[in-house]
Amino acid sequence: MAANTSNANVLEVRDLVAGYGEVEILHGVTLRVGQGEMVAVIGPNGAGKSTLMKAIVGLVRPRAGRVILRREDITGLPPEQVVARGVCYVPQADNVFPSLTVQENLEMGGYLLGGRARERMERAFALFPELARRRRERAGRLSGGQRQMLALARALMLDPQVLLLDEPSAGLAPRAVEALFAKVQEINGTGVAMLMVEQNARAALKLAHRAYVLAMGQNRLEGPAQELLASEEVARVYLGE
Amino acid sequence: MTALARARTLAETGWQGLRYRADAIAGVVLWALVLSFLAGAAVTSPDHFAVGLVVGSVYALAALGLTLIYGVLRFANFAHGDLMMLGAYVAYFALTGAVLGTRRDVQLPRALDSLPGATERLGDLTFGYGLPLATAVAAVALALLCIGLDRAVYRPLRRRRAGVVIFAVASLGLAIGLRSLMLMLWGPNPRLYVEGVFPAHRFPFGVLLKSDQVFTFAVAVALAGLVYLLLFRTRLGKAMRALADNPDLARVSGIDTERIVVWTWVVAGALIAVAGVLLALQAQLNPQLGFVILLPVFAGAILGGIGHPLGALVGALVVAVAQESSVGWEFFGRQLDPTYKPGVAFVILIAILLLRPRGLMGART
Amino acid sequence: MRGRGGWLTLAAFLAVTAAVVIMPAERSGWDWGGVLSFLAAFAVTVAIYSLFTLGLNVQWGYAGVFNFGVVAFFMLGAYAAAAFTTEPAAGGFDTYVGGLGPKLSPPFLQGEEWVPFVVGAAVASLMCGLLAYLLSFPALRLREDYLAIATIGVAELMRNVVVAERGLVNSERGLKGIPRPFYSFFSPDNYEYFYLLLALVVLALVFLATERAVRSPWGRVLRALREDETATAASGKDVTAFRRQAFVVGAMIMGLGGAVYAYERGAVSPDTFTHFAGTFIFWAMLIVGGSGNNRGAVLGAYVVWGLWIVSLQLLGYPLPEALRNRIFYIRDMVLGGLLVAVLLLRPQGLLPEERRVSIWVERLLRRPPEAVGARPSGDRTPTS
Repeated sequence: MAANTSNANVLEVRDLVAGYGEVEILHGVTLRVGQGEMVAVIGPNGAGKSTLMKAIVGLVRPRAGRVILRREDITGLPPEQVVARGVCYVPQADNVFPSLTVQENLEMGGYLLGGRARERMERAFALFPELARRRRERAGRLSGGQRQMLALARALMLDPQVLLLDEPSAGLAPRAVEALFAKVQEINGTGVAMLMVEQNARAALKLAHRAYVLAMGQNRLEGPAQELLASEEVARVYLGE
Repeated sequence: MTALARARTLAETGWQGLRYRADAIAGVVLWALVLSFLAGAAVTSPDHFAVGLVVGSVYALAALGLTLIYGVLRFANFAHGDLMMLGAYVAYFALTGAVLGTRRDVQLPRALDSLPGATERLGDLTFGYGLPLATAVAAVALALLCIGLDRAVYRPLRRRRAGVVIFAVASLGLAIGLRSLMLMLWGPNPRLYVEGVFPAHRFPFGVLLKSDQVFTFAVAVALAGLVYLLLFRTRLGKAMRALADNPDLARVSGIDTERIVVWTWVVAGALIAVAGVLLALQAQLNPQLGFVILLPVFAGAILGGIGHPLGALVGALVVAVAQESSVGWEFFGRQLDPTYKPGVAFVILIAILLLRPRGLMGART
Repeated sequence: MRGRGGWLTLAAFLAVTAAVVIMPAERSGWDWGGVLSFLAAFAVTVAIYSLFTLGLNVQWGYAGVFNFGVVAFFMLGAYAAAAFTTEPAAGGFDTYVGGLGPKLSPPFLQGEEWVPFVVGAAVASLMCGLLAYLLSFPALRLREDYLAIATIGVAELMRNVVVAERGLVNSERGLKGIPRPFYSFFSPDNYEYFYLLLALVVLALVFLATERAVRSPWGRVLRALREDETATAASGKDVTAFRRQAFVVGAMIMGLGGAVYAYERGAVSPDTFTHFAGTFIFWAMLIVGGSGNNRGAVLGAYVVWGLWIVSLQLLGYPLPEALRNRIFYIRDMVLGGLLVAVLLLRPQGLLPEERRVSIWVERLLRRPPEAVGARPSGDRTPTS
C-alpha cells in the first residue's frame, strides 16, 4: 500500500462535530480516506457512525469541523451538491425507491448524467447481472440481498470518487452478506475509495485497508485493519471476545 | 447453510410471498368490486350513471392535482378546493375583466371577451375560444401562486420537518384566506361564465348530456393520461415519484428536490386551474364551493391510490357514480334522501382507509 | 419557559381587552351600563368557546387525536340539549323529537327551572361521549391526516342527518324558543349577568377538572405516553385505551359546551354549524393561544373572539362602503393569516407550556430527524 500523504487523500474529515436538535452525537471526529483505499469505521452502537456518514454527505449539518474532498471544502453543503462533487452514499435502511423499477432506480442514481445515464446503466447491469435479470421489477419486491445490490449499483451510477456505505450487511442472511462483501471488494478493486461503517466488525476489518474505531462520538483507535484485527484490546472491547 | 437456516429463509420468503399474495388478492378483489359496481350502475340506471360520469370527471380533474401533491409532497392540501375556485375566478377575471366594486362590478376596459369572436360558441359547446385562453392565464397565475405559497408557508414547514398535522392546519388557514379573498374581490353571489340555458342532447337509455359535459369528461381522461405519461415516462416524473418514495434518498442521488417541488406545484397549479374552470362551468362560480367538494375528491383520490393519476380518475368516477346512483337505493323501505350524497363518499372513504388504505393503485406501505 | 410567553402574551391580552372595552364605550358615548352588558355577552361567548377549546385540547394536545370534525360534537351537544328541554309549539309546523325535560321535572325546589337543563346538559355530554366512543374504534387506527379527512366527513354526515331526517330535529328550520335555566328569577336585563356567572362556573369546573386529570395517575400515563409511546406500550399500558378515554372525555366537554351554548342562544339551526364557525375557529383559538395547554386554550378563545368583536365594532365607525361590506371577509382573512403566521413564527402559541408536556404537539410541530427514507406508513404513527 503506497504511503498516503495528505494530498493523496480523497476524503478528509477534521474534528467534525454534529448532532440532532439539542443532542450532540459527534464530538470532534477525524479521519481520512486515501486514493483507492477501503476504510472501515467500527464501534459499538450509538457511537455515532451513521451520524458521521450523514454529516459527510450533508443530510445532517455539521456544527464544527471540516469535510474536505480532495482539496475542496464541502462542509455543510446540501446532499445534492456533495453527490454532484463525487461523494455517493448508500444508506443503511430504505436505500432504494420501492415503487420504482430496478431500472428506474438506476436512472435516479444517474439523474445528474442526463442522457449519458443509459450507457452507465448498461455498465451497472454488467457489474450486477442479478439486477439485469430484474430490470423491470419494482424495487420493493426484491429480496434483502438484491436490494442492497441495487442500492450499491444506484450509488455507483455517478462514478463517485468515494463511496460511503452505512452498515451494508445489516439485516442480510449470511449468504447474501458474503455476496455483498465480495461485490464491495470487487468495486474497491476498480479504484473506488470507500468509507464503510459496519456493525460486523470482524468482516469489515478483513476487507478494509485501514480502520477507525469510534465510540461515544469520538475517535478511539485507528490503524491498519490487520493490526486492529489482531489487537487484543479491540477483540476484547469491540469484538466482544 | 445449515438445514435449519435454510428452512428459516425459505419460511421467511414463503411468508413474504404469502403476504404479497394476500395483498395482491385484496387488490384484485377491490378492482373486481369497483368494476362490477360501475357495470352494474351503468346497466341498472344509465341516466344516473351518466350524471355520475359527468360529476366524476370534475372530481377527477380535482383529484389529479390533489393526488399529485399528496403523493409527491406528502401532505393533504385542504386548500385544494379553494385554489380551484380561485383559478376559476382568475379565468373569469381574465375573460370578463369584472371585479366587485362598492355595489356594482368594476370593469376593466378590455378583457379577453373583447377579442373578436372570443365569445362565439365553439361548435356545440357553450363557450368560445376566450374561455380556454382565460384558463391558460389562470393556469399560469395559479402555478405562480402555488410556488409562492410553497416558498412562504410550506417550505419553511418542510425545513422544520413539521408533522403532517401542521401542514394540514396551515393549509386550512390558507383555504380560509383564499376564500375570503374571493369573497372580497367578487362577492358571495354566484356567477357564471356564460349566461343562458342550453339544451342537452338525448342519448340512448334515457341519458341526457350537454356537450360541455362530454367535453369535460374528455378533458379529464386526457389529462389523466398526460399526467400518467409525465410520471411514468419522463425523467422529471420519475424524479417526482422518487421524491414521493423517499426524499432523502432522492437528495443523495443528486436530485435537487426543491426544484422538483417547484415543478410539481407548476403542474399541480395548472391542473387546479383547469379543474376549477370546468367545475365552475359545470356548476357555478361560488367561493363556498371549494370546500364542499373536498370530501368526495379526497375519497376518490384515496380510493384510487394516492399518487396515481389513473387511480385518481377511476376513484373519482366511482365515488361520483356511487353518489348519483345512491338516490335510487333503498334503506328500510325508504329511498335514500339526496342530502346524503356526501355521506356516500364518506362511507367509501372510511371503508378504504380501514380495509385497504393504499386504494386501487397506491404504493405498497 | 414561562418567561418566554411573557410579554407577547401580555401584550395580546391587553390589546384585546383594551379594544373590547374602549371601542364600545367610545361608540356608545361612554354609557357604562350598556358597555357592561356588552362585555357580559362577550365574556359568555368566550366562556362557552373555551369549553370547546378545552375539549379539543384534551383530544389533540393530550391524546393526539386529530379531530377536524369538532362541529359534529358541537352540533350534537347543542341539539341534544335543545331537543331535550324544548317543547314543540303546539299546532305549528315544527316536528321533532323532544320536550322530555320539562316532563321530568320534579315539582319541588322549583324543579322546572333547573332540572331539565342539568339533565339536558348531561344528555348532551353523554351522547357526545358515546359518539366519540363509537368513532374511536375506526378512528384511532387511522393515520393523522386520514383521521382529519375522516372527521370532516363525520361532521358532514351529521349535518346531513339533521337536515334529511324530517321529524328528528326539525331539519333546516331548527329548534327555537329554547328555555333558559332560572329565567323567571331575574329580569331580562339582569339575566345575562346571571348566565355569565353560570357559564364561568361551568368553565372553572371543567378547567379545574382537566388540570386535575392531567396531574392524576391517569394523566401521568397520558404524559408518559406522550414522552415515549413505545416505552409506555412496552410497560403494558394499553395505549389505544388511554387515547380513547381522552377522546371521549374531550367529546363530553364539547357536548357540555354545546348545551351551554344552546341555552344561551335560545335557538339552533343547521346553518349556524359550519365547518368554519364550528371547527376551524376552535383550532385557530387553540393554536394561537397555546396548544397542548389548558390556559392557552382559554386565552386563545379570548384573543380570537376579541378579534371578532373588534371587527363588529369597526362597523360602527365611518368607513368607506366598499370596506364596510367586506369587514367580515377581512376578519376571516386575518384569522387565517394569523393562524399561518403563528404556525410559522411561533408554533407553540402565545402561552407555551410550563414544561415540555405535550410531546404530541412537539412531535407534530417538529418531527425528530427521520432515518433516511422514513416514509409515513399506512398505519397510525408516521414518525421515526
